[in-house]
Amino acid sequence: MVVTTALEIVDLCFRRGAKRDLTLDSVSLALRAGELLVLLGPNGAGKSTLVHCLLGLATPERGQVRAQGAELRSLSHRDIARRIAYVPQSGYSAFAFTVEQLVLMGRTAHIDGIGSPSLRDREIARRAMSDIGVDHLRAEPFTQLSGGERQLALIARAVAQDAPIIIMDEPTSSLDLGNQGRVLALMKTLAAGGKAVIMTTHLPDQAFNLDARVALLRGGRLIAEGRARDVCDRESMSRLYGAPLLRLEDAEARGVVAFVPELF
Amino acid sequence: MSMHLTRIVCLAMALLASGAPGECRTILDMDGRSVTLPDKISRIVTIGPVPVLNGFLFAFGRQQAIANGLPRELARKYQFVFAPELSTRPVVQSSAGLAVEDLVALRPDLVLSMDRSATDKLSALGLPAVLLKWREPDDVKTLMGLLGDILDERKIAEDYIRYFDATLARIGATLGPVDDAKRPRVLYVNYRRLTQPHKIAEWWIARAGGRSVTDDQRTEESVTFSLEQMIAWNPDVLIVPDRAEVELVKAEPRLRDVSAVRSGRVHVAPGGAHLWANRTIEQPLTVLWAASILYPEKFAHAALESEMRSFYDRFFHVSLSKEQIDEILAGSAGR
Amino acid sequence: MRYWRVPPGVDIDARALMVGLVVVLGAMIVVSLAIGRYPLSLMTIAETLLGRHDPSQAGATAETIIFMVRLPRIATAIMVGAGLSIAGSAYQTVFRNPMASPSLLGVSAGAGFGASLALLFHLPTLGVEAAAFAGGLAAVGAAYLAARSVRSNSLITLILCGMVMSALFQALISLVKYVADPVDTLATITFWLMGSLAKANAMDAATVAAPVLLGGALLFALRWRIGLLALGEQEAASLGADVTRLRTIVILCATAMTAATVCVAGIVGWVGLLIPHIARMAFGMEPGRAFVATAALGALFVLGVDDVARSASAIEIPLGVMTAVIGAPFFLFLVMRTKGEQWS
Repeated sequence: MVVTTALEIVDLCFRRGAKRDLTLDSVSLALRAGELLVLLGPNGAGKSTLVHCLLGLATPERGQVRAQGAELRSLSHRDIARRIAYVPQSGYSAFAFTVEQLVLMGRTAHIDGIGSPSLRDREIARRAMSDIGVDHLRAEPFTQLSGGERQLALIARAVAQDAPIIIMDEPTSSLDLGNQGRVLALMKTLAAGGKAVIMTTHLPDQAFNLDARVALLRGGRLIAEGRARDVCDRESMSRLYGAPLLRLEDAEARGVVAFVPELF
Repeated sequence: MSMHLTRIVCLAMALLASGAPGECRTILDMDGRSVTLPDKISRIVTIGPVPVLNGFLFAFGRQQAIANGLPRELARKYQFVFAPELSTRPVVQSSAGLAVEDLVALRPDLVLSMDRSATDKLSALGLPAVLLKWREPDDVKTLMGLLGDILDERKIAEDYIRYFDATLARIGATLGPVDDAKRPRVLYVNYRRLTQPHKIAEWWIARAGGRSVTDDQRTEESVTFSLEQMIAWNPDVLIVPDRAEVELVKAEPRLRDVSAVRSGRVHVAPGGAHLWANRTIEQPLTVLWAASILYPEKFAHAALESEMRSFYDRFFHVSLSKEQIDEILAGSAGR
Repeated sequence: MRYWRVPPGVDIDARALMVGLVVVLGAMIVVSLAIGRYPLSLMTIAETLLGRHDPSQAGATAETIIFMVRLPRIATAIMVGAGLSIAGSAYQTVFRNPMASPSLLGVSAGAGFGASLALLFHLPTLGVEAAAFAGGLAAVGAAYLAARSVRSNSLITLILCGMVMSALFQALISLVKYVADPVDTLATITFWLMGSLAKANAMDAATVAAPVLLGGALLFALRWRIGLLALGEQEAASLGADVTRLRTIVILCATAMTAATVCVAGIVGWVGLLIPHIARMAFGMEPGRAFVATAALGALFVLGVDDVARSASAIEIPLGVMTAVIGAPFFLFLVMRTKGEQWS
């Protein structure tokens, strides 16, 4: 098996408008196919900005982002979409598309010109839905689904998009524990299938649960990187979030560690 | 309170004007309001339908007393023929409304209006504003009577009223009994907007022996309709407000089967002091003109011309030449 | 809203739907041909349509009525209805706002101003229509330039600039009315703005058909990509859509279509706002189905309303007035039925 660098971020700097401080300061990362990376950081650390830069939605001041060897700056939106798929937080939508229509939209980057999806595109969408387990919801309006179902539908769309890199922006933020588990399990499966997956979150325990690589982002800087058990200890986490934390560990937890705020 | 104010103003003005205490009297206008006027009326202002009101004053020989000019959009050539001094008078009215201060500066002894809110506003300022009304066809007689009282020219008013009744009676007699079914179907139309704009037209068309297709005892002043409705009515005679509309009607391919267009009976309403088809002191002439186009065999063109000459001589004290008569009958050019 | 939705499990074939709507529209056209102030028997109508030439005067008039009065008016009404509905639907998608109407960026006000100005200078009908079209495009173009000068690519900025332009051109219309002579021109302008198909002829039908059919064809071809815009700028771009270009094309088409309808029918409201909702509610969001349903329902609505406006009595009721009188309460009814919840 050839190990290739799917995503490479080199010295990325981003400044919002004319602000004095950089929102992202010399961020460098690399991700291989089949790898799972958890981007951990407090609110305002720059996670969303980083995601936007990776999707080509924001122009960095300095630095490069290379997806499958090609510089993002030189690619059209369509070409970027063929390489990178985005799973946003399942938010509000004003229009009640059905799940099937939504998942079909993932095929946009593969449809030429001004045309509409072909039969093959529809097949691929159906397969994505059944793989993720939302096929029984395909005729339901997106707006009438539960939070968990919505998130799964968006993941199905990213799968239909058939891009080697998947970026998920806080995919479990509004989900209950059951749905959280489902989504996390799905991510492991996708990575195992050869996709490079990045997930932003502010819950360290998810990194442990996924047994993933972790990158800590604070104040726009990458302050640490490595395996969860190496990078996430009580001190570093407390420093990351700027608050005293308690570390929860259990012998039967199979190595999964959680952190909770320490109250007085 | 405003009545007293008017009195004081009136007395003051009379004092200033004649140097001696003048008389003031009170009359009731056509809205039933009391208006105090000076005995001697030497400055009159007309607002609203200025040409129409001027026309009444021409009949009373008060051309010189009119203190205001004609707004640009209401000006007609013959207003200046009947009262040349109008061209030098200041205009106190525009589409934006009344220039009240200019109006007050004219120090009128009498303000004539056909709009209640304008009259109220001016009365509140202490001006002697009289409301005239003309809704029913016979109102013009009441109107002339009131003006006769105000201007102390009762004889002229009575003369006009007699003339009005006599002319209409004569026309009726010449027409004789007309079978309803045999009356020509007439449509007075502003073709650009597809409206019949004035209810008075229903009356003069009927008195001229025609049947107005838009006459349905409505209370609204104007009525709007579609092209198909026009074709459905299939009028025998079309009357339009200006010559440009004649061209428009003739050029419209969809109207070519309409009776009036086929037989070429598309006429322009004449215009003297005002458009004859609308409310004007020249209304008896309107009826005669309409009768002459509807029943040319009974009403000779020459008789219409001589009647016009006699009317303008008798009431406006102007001798019209043949060219002028033709010009009035030809109506306005339009855009 | 389950009441009008197709029962779940029944998958209406898109083709069957299109055929069905076309049939209904065809029936409506036949009915509209039979309605009117000029009395025509069904026999006469049929014979005239079949080309059987009746040499009498009545026959010639029947031909005139059918081919030169009713048919052009019906065609114009259909184009106006379809055009406004499609434009409204496109605007609602692009701006992600179910409350958007075609006049959002000021095209109606701009077209009204162009027409008023032309009427003030007594231009012929063709000049008035050209001025209306130019005015509509100018207003939206001005909104665009204003948004660009703020150097923002966001939709909110564009909407705000559109509102400003709309208000500006409304004020300019008032100014024109102010200057116009109250006896004649002012009445003409007011009547024109209220909207009426009273004099619609073949030329009017062609004038509105060209932009509506061309714009509609382009929007139909792009229907699937336009749907992406409803997800929002960032999501659509992340899926690979060229958001800026799509947005520009959609707004251009919708504006041209709306300006064309204002040219021939004056300012007609509520159609662009209401019909897309009903189409979505009844036929779902699938782009092809939604497009055809929107166009057909819009055509049916305006055609029906105009039929009433021109035949209920001798008095012609302005089209814009009727769509407001019917549209506003119906909209309220929809709000009540859905209890203000999810739209479509």
